[in-house]
Amino acid sequence: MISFTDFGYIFLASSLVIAVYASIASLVSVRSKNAYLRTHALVSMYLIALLMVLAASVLVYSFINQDFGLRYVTMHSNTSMPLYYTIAAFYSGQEGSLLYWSTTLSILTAITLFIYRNANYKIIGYSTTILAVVFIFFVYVLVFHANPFERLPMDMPDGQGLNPLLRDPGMLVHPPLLLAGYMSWTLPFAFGIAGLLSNDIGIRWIQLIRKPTLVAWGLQTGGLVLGGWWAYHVLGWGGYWGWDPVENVAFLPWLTGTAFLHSIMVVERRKKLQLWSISLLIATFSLSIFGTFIVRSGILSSVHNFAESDVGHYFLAFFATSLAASISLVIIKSKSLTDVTTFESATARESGFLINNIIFVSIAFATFWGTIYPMISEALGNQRITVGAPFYEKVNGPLFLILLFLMGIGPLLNWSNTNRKILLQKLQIPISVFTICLLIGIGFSGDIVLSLGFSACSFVFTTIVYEYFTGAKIRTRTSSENYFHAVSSLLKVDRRKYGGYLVHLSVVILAIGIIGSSGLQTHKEINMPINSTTTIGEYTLEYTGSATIEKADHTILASQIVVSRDNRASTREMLPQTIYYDNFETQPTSRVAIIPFMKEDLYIFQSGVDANSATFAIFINPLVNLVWVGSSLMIVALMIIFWPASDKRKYETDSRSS
Amino acid sequence: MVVLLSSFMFTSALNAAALETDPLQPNMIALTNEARSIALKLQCPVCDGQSIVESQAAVSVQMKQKVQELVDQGKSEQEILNFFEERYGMMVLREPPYSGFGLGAWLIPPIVIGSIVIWFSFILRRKNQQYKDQQ
Amino acid sequence: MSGPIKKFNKRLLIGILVIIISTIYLITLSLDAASAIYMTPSELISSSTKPEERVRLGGMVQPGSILQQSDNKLEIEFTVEENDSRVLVEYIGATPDIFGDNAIVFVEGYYSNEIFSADTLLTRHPDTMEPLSQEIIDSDSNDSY
Repeated sequence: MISFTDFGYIFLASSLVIAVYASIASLVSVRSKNAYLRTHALVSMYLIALLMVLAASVLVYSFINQDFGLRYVTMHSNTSMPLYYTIAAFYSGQEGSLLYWSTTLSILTAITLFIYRNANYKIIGYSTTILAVVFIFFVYVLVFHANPFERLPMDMPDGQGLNPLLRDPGMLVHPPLLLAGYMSWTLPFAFGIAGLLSNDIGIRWIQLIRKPTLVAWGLQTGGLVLGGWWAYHVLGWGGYWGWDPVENVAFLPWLTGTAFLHSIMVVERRKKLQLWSISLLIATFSLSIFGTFIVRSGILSSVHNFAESDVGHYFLAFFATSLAASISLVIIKSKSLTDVTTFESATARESGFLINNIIFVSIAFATFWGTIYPMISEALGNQRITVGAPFYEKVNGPLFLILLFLMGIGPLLNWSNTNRKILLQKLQIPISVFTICLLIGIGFSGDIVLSLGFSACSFVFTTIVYEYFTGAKIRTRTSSENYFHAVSSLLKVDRRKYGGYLVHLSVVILAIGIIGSSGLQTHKEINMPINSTTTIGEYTLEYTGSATIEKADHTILASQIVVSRDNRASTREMLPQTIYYDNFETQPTSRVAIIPFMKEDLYIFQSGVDANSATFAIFINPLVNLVWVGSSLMIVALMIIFWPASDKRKYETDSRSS
Repeated sequence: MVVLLSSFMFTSALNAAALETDPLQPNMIALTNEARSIALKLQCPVCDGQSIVESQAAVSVQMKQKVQELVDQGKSEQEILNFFEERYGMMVLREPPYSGFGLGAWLIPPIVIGSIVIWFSFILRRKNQQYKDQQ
Repeated sequence: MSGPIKKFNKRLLIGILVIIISTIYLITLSLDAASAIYMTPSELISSSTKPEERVRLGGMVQPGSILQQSDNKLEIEFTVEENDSRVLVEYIGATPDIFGDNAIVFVEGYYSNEIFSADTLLTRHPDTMEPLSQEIIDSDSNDSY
């Protein structure tokens, strides 16, 4: 007898078979220039997307219906779980998160292939094969080793429930966004390999690959930022990035991906760095697979661990194979990737990009090294050395600072060569602003590092404003626009350049937020008897007591703190909490109480409560909201860059095969 | 939720009731700023990637108490770090030591990156030369 | 030209046939894969599972075998039995209220040195007096929506 949920499995199995067909058909279609086969392959990929959506729907339906005869549903939900947590439940386990990855991959593949279906037949043909092969791997694991649609021998009366750490709005969006970010690098990767295979890493290829790259970069950035936001609100140590192994592993592909984003600009303008760019792209894709392998294999035990099914070694095999195959391909094709021009001048824009890339790769290597070094030191027979946040701050900090400066100088450089005199002239104002800020900063705080950081931000900010200003000025001269119109038409006319500056501006805002909240943070841990008061900064806090509230499947232990500010009559209430879930008593979670003022956050974490008092960790995080503002602006800027241009998209249509 | 709780009268009697829900030992330690900055440099021995400050594990709580004790006794940061290293091994130090195996963590990145940069500039120089020769 | 096109159509037909046959094959596979395989104690004992291999065990809790290892009910030990075979299980985590003597349990984890270390536990009351393996066979035939 086939039950409803078996259809989920059937959809998965069918997708696997069709993907095998599509990969072969697409390959043959390129070699034999057969248009029919190419259409077959493309339609197959669309069909796969449909089947995967259906399979995912079967699982979602089972969750909503609370089908506790399905093993996956029983393990990750229960009757008292509110419906919107179904989203989190879907991807919280090994099988579900693989299904999520495969489904989103198939959808993104179908959309991308549809948009670019009329582009160069070789690139699309080879890409389809690569995409199908990657998809085959994931669905293979699903079908044979991590089936979400397994039924238990008998129905259970109730489920286990969702991991407490996932019962949070931040957790609702962070994993799916981050997973989608990892997954979406498959698209540019496929185009990259296809370009290599068809010996075509030219303008056409760049234009094809740019939007999928931006999409992947955007998704990954969003995922990382949301992870930080979640850590800030739930983990309670006053920060948002701890340099822990899982964070680091997710950060690596972002670093190489950002480097790639910059290096393809050099490939486009100056036909240099082709080999380097392809290598970065391969590294980014491989690091995404590596990252998800590390998280799924159980090598690192953490909240991110998926214990239920042992698929780690399949991912390791896939990682090793795809990396080896890609590297071999690059070596074989390296002859055809010769750069046309060379790096003559150190102050050329492409040199700036090269330095940018080297620094990103250095940060990636240092982070990678710090993450695996504990295992290396242990394996080499010695003691296990811990590499914690202090290491990364000392090594990556200066590198990020240099990157910040580069972001300011870069736009002022011209391609192929920059007149030194003109450059120095352009630099006058930004350097003066920088020096003034530095002196003010050191004078006020005595902290050189902090002042350097803020001054670097002011430097970059000035150069970006300068670029916009001069650009708009030229426009007001040649057209009848006023300054405001000029700025918005700058964005219309040269969307990539001025949109890019907007992204950099968001990065500066983000940087100011990071520097402020880490460098200027004040904190205090204090044990407060009931009805006692304490002060921090300009706030007076009174602890009035604690209470418990029983809910369906959890208990909340909350403390009340009344906050007043100097010279103000009105008070506010803060309620830091600890939450105990019924099936997971060993893992209480916290809700940090935060009041976001404009210039800073007042942040209170409840460490412990006893009969007469409670212990709190209290933080003032200046400028921290700029981190979230800057990140949001970055996404907005990305969308501006994405907005369809008025010029015809010639690159999407190309000479078709016979 | 906020409204619900505010309408409670917060009295000491409620705290006692609140306690019954806590199956784990409540963590009542409040570190001074000095103790906290030292504690941030100590790794929780049983967690993954967390310092004893972030961790809620029992052993972390004990270690924090010890740190505060030693700070109150006037010990310096280095003395306190050494104290823990003797008891828990090198793994308890969040910052790799500047000696022995710890050096590997610090030195390899600059060496590798430096080598890559040098190798890169050789290749670029050679290509520049080739290009000029072709002209 | 009808020659190449005819040849192509033939190839296409073969390709589609291959797909249909493979899909039917995979579907019949699904009837097996659809049921999560939980071994009975006797099967586990006589199997050759390696300590690092993840396994699943199903059976009934032997009355009186539940022992609390720590104060907060979060580490327990109990015995899973089926007819005359028994397996000792150690489990760290919270147990639902239903869990108790004679409850049906499905655990997942690792088996070595004759001890099953479980990290997942699902449980329910038995409805009937049938031996568990018989229930598993029966349940296969009554799933329908």
